[in-house]
Amino acid sequence: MRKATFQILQRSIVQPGRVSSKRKQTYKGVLLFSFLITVLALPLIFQGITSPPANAEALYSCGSRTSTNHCYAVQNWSGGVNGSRTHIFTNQLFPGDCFVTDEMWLGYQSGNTNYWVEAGEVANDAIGQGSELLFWADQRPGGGYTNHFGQYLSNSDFGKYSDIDIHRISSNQFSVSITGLPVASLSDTSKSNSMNPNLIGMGLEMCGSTGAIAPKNGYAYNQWESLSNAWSYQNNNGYPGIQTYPAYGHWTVDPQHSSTGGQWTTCIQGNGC
Amino acid sequence: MRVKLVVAGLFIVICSLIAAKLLIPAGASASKSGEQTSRALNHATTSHPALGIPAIKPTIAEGSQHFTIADVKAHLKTHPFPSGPTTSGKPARILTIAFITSKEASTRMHGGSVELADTDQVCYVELYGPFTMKYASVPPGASLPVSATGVEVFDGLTGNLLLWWVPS
Repeated sequence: MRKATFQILQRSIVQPGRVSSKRKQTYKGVLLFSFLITVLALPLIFQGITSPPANAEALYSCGSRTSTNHCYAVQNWSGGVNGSRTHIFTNQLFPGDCFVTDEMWLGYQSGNTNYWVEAGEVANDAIGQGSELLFWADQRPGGGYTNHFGQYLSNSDFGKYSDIDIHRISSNQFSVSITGLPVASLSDTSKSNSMNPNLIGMGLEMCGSTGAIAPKNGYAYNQWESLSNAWSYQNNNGYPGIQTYPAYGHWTVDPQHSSTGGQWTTCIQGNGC
Repeated sequence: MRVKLVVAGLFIVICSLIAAKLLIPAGASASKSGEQTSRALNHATTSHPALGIPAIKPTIAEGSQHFTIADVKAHLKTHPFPSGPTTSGKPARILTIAFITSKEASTRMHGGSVELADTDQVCYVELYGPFTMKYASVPPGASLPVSATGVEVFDGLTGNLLLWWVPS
């Protein structure tokens, strides 16, 4: 293309008389301008159409086939509760060589015993070529671990808030829902689950060693449900946040100075974080 | 005249490329569009909203199950258990492939949710690994589940993968 353009430029210079010299100068200028713009713009134009942003080659240690040390940017609150809610912003996640989630947990923890119900968005390199989807999972007393697949996020679901709600609806059942997005939604029930929750967590979980990207996503309108079923906004920061590189989280709006539960923000260090 | 055409051509090419960049959001891919089309087709053949993610392509038009055990086996050959590969790196061994009701599948999974109505048909697949749990999401401080066997449950009509489960 470059050779052809120069030939055209040469011909326009060595074939006088067909156009006036003023018009010839104009054509030369336009041609040169077009050529330069094309050469400079091509890499920018094609970048990002089918692949995540650059900066995906950073290495980290967040678990592998044989190790279990996932990385987190999570905020926790403790104490007996019946439920929790948060609104998670949906800037797109890219899984790298494992998965990345933005999610909320309602759980029970005592010593080494853990039960929970969790829900949110996940990008998983083994599912749908890494496309982001809704999910929920539970670890039940005597019931094992289940991971449920929800709907893929549509293009119009990105850049919105998804409303995550997990709360007890009977002595051994918890309602799980994700609503508020234009297209994708999720509604189900964690059954045969007799846990008594004493922990709320929200934030980013990731595994693998390279390539994951998570831009800043906020967790707002953070609420908890008391054992008498009264909903309240979080008004304290809970435990100090858990952060393991490259996952990063911080309070962008402190719950102590907010009437709507504050805003926790997470991302993966690097692009967009 | 020839120069004019070349200039116009270049202008059109540049405009087209810029338009493509603006109209196609980052991260959208042709393969994802294909999957969404597949989901839409699946959805059209079901009596309930499409749940789960596309997995086994239906090969039977009527009845309570729209694919066969052979279809399941073909799928399993190319799709490892969703928790992660086996610890040995070898293919998982099939223990069970059964078309049963959602309620029966729930009972086999110690009362876990299957999302569908009790009488809806699902395909219950039990595999022997043992499996790595690379793709299990767990809260900070919790151990990843450990299990020699794992279960996948597919919607009997759409072939979609609804869930995977490992016992305690």
